[in-house]
Amino acid sequence: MEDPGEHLLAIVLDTNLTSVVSSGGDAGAVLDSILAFCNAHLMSSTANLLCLTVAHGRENRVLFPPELDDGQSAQAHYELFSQSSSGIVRQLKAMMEAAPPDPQTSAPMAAGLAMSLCFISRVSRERPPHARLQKRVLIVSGQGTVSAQYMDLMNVFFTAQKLEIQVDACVLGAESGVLQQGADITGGVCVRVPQPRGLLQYLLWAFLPFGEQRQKLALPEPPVVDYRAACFCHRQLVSVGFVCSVCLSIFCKFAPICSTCHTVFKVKGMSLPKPSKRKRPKQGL
Amino acid sequence: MTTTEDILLQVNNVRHKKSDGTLFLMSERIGWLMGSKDTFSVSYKYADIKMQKISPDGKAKIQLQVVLHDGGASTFHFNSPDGEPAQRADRDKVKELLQTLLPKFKRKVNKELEEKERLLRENPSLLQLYQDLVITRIATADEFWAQHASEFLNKTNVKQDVGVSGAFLADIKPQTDGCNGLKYNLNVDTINSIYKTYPAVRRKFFEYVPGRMSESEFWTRFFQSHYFHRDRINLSSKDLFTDCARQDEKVIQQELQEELDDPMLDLRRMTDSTVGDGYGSDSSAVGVGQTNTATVSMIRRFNQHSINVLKASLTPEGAAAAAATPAKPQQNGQSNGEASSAAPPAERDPAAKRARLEERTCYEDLEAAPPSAGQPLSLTKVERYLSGPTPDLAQLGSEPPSASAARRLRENVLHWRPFTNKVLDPQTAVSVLGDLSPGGALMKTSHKDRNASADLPDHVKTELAAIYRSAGELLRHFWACFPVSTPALEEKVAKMEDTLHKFHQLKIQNFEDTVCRQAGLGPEVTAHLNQMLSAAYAKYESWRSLRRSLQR
Repeated sequence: MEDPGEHLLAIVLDTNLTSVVSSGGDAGAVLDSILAFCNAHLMSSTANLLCLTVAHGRENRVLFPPELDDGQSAQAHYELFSQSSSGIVRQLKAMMEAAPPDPQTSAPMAAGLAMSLCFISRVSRERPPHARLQKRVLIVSGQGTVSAQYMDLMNVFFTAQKLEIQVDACVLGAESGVLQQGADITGGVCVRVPQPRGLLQYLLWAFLPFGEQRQKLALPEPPVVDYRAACFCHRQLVSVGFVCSVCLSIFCKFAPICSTCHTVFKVKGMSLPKPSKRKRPKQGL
Repeated sequence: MTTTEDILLQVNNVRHKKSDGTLFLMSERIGWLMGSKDTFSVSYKYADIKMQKISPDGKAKIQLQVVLHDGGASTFHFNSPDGEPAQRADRDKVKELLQTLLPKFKRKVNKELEEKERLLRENPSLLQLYQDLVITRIATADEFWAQHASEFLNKTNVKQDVGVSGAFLADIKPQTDGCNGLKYNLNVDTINSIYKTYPAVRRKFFEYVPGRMSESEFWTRFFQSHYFHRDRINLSSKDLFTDCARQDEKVIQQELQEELDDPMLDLRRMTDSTVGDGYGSDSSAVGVGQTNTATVSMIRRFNQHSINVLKASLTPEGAAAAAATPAKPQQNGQSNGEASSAAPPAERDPAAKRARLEERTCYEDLEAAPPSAGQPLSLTKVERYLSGPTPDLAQLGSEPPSASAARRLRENVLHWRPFTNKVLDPQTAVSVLGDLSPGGALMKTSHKDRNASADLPDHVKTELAAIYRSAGELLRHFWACFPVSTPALEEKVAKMEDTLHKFHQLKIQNFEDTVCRQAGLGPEVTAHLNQMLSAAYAKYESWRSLRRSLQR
């Protein structure tokens, strides 16, 4: 199928692959798969663009397209491939050497995602107005997300929704609720990979096609996206709770005075619980 | 007559109510004694007498009437046998004595009381209220006037000056007095109106009267003068009103020059045409410059007269600032320059101007309603909004990565050489494919919602479609029978129920048994059909039970 438009794929990679390693996998193989996937994307069409952002430790760095031209290109290699392979590999190694990933802290995924969105906007602005640029973001993460980045991630997801950029997620470890929500918000696909060895296959199958082709394919969908809110007192997810009508803060137990806005709620006789609506799964936003 | 009063005057032959008697005037009262009696039949205290009246000179009877404060009156007829002059003399004596005596005893008329009485007389409802409340001692009189009748009392407080009638000069109708003479009746009111309208005349009056000529002569000259005529063409120099005329000329010139101080008033916009702007004849400016001087001067005089009349009826406040107010009623004539200048500064006051402008331009009900002030929201612990949920630890599944894992990762990456090994081996690829294809491990949940019709073989599909068609038709007839109102419908319902059952038995069971088993499909293919049929059965049952309970 002729698709004259350009395709821009932005990959945000979390280098904290400790979950893979601790379960006996090989981080190198994972990185191999990702590299191969990048090359596959670049090979599909000369008009394809790639942006690889790596979230490592406390920084995000754009590894591809490289800022500086190395000048090293192996012979008999497609220039882009050699650039990508050598450049990315070298920088990854340098980063890993300089600052090993701390298992306690999580990489700034939200920031990395925001950076890739900026890259996408820049590229789309540089294009003439009539050019069709299809853009996508793929998040590859080994650990889902940490609650500290929840709000930032949600903000970025909504931004992507406004920009009409689909955010896909490929999760190597445990299922991640946030990434599922993000994929659902932006219209992307979230896949949890049970076997890291077959990662490349997953990537090629689910995340290579673009735009209209995706609608014609049967891609995996998460069963129920967990949109439950967290109560303000314990930060636990609640499905049935109490919402203050003044400040909209959510509580899991009834309290006659809202602790945020100090509104007094009149109670008729016994404290009648006013349960909030259970959030429907996959509800439109 | 056992009184200790001094008799000041005694008049015999005074008739009262057709009987003869004697009229006595004592120090404190007036009394009339009938001829044959000892005591006074009629006696009035001087304090009670409001006034006395005497009959006019031309009448046959010489009478004196005493009017009391409460409205009563009694008449005394002086019938002295000595003849009319004596009677008149008697009456005059009585009259003069009374005139001297009455003021002494004149009760301080409580004006307010009179007012109240008048009000009570005029408003029967108020009178009724008064009677109910005060006379029955529910409220005292003071309370009554303060509370219930307060609005009545206030109305009369503001006294308005009677304005000058515009046609007062025309109302002085001359009466022909025999041959070739005219008689003009001048009231004090008329004179005041003339003064108000033509202040120059007033000045002249003071100049000439009573020094040079008498009042009546002044007025005669006034009416004779051409000043008063319609056309002031010939002004004789002897006429004392010529400078009035000249003054008037000056005045009107000044008026013309003085700008109209009301910017809101635009006389040119007032036209007589009722047709809107732009329709019909154009309402261009009226032609200026009429050549007929007589008409011009007459029009000018009319205008001046109107101006004077208007000015005369301005409120006396404007003239209060005038100097030397004589005992005569206030005049707002133009002679008082201050009067005319007192009014414009009030207009030019910017606040007043703004108020007037606003009144003209703003419509209150067209303005937006003022926004209602909302309740201020004070929030504490705002950070609770900003942080996300803490994930359940049980959900994590695996343990948090340890430091050794981090080290291993680092070594892995450092020793990594890209593409040394096969990135993907075929078996893994195939198993992944299995997972990702419909029905696979990852795709299971998404497949549930999908329509299973894609999996049905064609012949099953066509047969199912046929069954659906007929079932739908039967069900439509069935449901159309409700609500059951006529016996015909009852029969139809029963029949439909029967038919549905039969259909169920034959067709659907047949379909399920044979075709589905052949194709290996589960009962979910006909699940929807069965659901519809069972709903119909349930409805029928409930209707039957209802009918039975009603019939019993």
